[in-house]
Amino acid sequence: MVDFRIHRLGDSVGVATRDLSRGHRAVGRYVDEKEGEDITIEMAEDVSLGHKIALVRLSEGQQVIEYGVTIGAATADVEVGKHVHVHNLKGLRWA
Amino acid sequence: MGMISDKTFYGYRRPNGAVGVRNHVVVLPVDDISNAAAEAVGKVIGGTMALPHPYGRLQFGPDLQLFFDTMIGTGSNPNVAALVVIGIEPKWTARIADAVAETGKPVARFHIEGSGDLKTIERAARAAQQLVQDASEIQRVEIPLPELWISAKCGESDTTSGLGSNPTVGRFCEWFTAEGGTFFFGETSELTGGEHIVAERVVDGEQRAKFQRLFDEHEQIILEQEADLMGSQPTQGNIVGGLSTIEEKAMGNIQKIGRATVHGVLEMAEPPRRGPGLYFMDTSSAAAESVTLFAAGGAALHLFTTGQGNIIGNPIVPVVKLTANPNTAATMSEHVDLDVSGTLTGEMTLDDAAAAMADVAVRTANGRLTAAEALGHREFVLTRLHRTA
Repeated sequence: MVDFRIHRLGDSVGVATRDLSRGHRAVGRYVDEKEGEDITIEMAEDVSLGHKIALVRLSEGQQVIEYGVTIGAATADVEVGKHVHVHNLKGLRWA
Repeated sequence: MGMISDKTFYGYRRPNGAVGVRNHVVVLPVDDISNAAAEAVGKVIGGTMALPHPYGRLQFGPDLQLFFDTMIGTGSNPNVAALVVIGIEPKWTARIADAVAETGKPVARFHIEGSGDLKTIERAARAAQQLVQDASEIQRVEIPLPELWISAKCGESDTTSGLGSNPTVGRFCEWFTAEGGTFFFGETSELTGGEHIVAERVVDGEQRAKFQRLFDEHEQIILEQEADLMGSQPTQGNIVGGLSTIEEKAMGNIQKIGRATVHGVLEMAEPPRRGPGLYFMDTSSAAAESVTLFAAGGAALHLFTTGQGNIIGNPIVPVVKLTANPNTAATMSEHVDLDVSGTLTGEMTLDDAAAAMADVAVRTANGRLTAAEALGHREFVLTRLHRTA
C-alpha cells in the first residue's frame, strides 16, 4: 500500500494519500512511476491525507519544490518526515 | 479511432449550428428591479426558468460591457432553446434581445415602464407558454462528441486535486482537444506560480501576448490591494485540505489541461472564434463566476473537480463533479458524479479515470441529470469589474 505520492523527481515534499502516524515507515511512489523507485521515509509526526511531508531536510529560507517548481520557501527549519504546511511554508508571490 | 472522435451523443442542434445538451426556456431579467416579474413568469409557466441577479443598473464602461457580454452570451448559449427578456425600460432590453436573436433562436422581449409588473407578467407569460411548448417539440439528434464545447474548473481544491482529479480532466482534455474538441479553462489568479508554463503552451505569438496582458492586469489588481490573500486565495478550505501557497495551488490547477497546447486566449465571456482547440479564458477563480463566464462564452457542459467538496451548479450548463479525495467522495456523495480516488492509491490509472470521465460526459450530454442539477444548484453569478456610477 502506497502512503504518499511524489509529483516529480527532485521534489522536496510528498503528499500523504492516507492519514499517517508518527513513527510509521511510509512508502512513497512517484505519480509517474517511471520517474523513480519507491522511497521510504520515517514519519516524524502525524500527517493527514492530502498534507505534505518533508522528503529532505529544509533550512529556513530554503525554496520548497513540488511539481518540479518552487511553491514557496520554508519559514523554519524542517526535519525529514515532518509536516510541511502554512506553519513552516510561505509563498513567494503576492508577498 | 480515438477515445473521443468515435463517440456521439444526442443533443440539440440550434439554428446557428451550435450544439446544446439541455433545452431550457430562460426568462432573463435585464436588471435587479425586473427580477420580480421574471420570477413570476418562471412560476406561472412550467418548464421555464428565471435567472434573477442583482445588477444591470447604472453600470458603465468596461463593467457595463462585461455585463452585456455575459447576459447576451447566457441567452445565446446553445443549452437555451428560447429566451424571454424582461427589463425596466426598452433600450437595454432590446440590446440583449436583439443580440441573442442573431443566433436564430426565438426571443421575446418586454419592458415594465408604462404598464407595470402585472400586465408585463401576463404578456411575458403568454409568450413564454408558446416558447416552452414549441421548445418541447425539438428533438435530440446524434452529434459527434468533439462538437460539444466543454469547460473545466476546480474548486475547494486540495492536494488530491493536483494528484488525481485535475490530472484526470487533463488527460481527458488532451484526448478531446487532439481529436477536434473545443475546451475552456481559466482562473487567472490561480495560475500564479505556473503562469510561465501556460504562456509557453500558447502556440500563437499574438495569443500568447494577449494571455500575458490578461495575467499581468489581474496580478496588478491583486498587488495594488497590498492585501494578504492567505485564507482567501488559497481559501480556508484549500488550507484544511493541505494546500499551502498560491504557487502550489496553481500547479495543481494547471494539471487540468494535461500536456495540451493552448490554441486561443479569450477575454471574460468572449466566445472562441479561432476554431476547435484549447482556450484560456480570463476569469475569476470563484466557481460560480467562472462557470457563468464559460457558459456565456458558449460552453455547454462543465467538468468541475473538487478536493474538499465545492457544491456549485449552474442554471443552464450541467456541472459534472469529480473528486479524488476519498473522504469527500464518502461524506458528500450526493454531490459527486465521478469518484476517481483510486488514482491516488494507484488502483486506477489516469487513462481509466479519463475514460470514465468521458463516459460520464457523454451520459450527461445525453440528458442524465448531474448531482448539482438534481440538487437544484443554479448559481448564476455575474462578474463585476468596478463600482456602479
